[in-house]
Amino acid sequence: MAPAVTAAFLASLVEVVEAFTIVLAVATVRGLRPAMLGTATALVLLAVVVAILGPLLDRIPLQALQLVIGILLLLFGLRWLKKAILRAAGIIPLHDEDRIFAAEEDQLERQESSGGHLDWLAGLAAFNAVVVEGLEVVFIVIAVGAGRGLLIAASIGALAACALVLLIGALLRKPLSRVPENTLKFAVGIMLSAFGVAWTGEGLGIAWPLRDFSILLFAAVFLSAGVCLISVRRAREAAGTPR
Amino acid sequence: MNTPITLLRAILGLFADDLGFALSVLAIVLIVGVLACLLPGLPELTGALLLTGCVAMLIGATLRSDR
Repeated sequence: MAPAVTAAFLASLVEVVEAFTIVLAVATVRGLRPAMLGTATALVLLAVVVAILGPLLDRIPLQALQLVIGILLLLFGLRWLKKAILRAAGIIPLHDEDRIFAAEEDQLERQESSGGHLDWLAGLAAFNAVVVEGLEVVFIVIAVGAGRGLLIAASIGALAACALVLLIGALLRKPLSRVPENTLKFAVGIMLSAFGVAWTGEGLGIAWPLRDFSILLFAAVFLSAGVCLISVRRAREAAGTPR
Repeated sequence: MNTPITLLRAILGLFADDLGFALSVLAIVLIVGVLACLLPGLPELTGALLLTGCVAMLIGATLRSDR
């Protein structure tokens, strides 16, 4: 249970921090009303998605569910891991919440000067951010929790992350740029990739010899590969040979 | 007007912003699936192939990626 809750918590932490940055920018430029309206509308949409998906999951045979979610986890987790490795190696820039906040503020102010319906546009920006990041949270909770009776545990992990970010964000009232996002993404990428291999294998009818302990073994393999890749890419960058 | 398209692109991008990488992972799963059907008595072999295939895809994609 602990790996599922931890994965849901850490992944949700990253996603909620990203959504919080945009919502905060909207609230700073246009006030709380459009920010809250966009966020609330997005949360209602997410609740509808969960209400529709929840009962559907119960109707899908377990093996098919494991296969589909396992493949999606592999695509999602390996993508996160690859980007985290490239960021850690300095190949692509780190996710900078302060820069994103400033860019969003700048865009909203430019829209204001061009005479657009700013409250509407600002609310839409908050809506988009919460829907996109929220869907990632919903997917991660379903992916690590469904099929093993861990949906509630994973949901608690995600809700704890939301509560933590909102609490700290409300106190600080500025982007949470000191959260080590890339380290978290690296860790979550490893966990999701490990879950992805385990679930895809089970969906394909592979009975893992070590059962659930296999996930820890897979995580160790991805961690080793990730650490080695960071070193290799850093060395290549230092030597000035990108390829 | 563009919001649904923007959202759809963002959601698809969660899984497949690098199409070649996504297709490579799917190809590994397909190959392992076929092998798992042909060799049901060798879960260690097919399982190891799935894991090493995914790690190999990760290594290849990470080494190929530019700025």
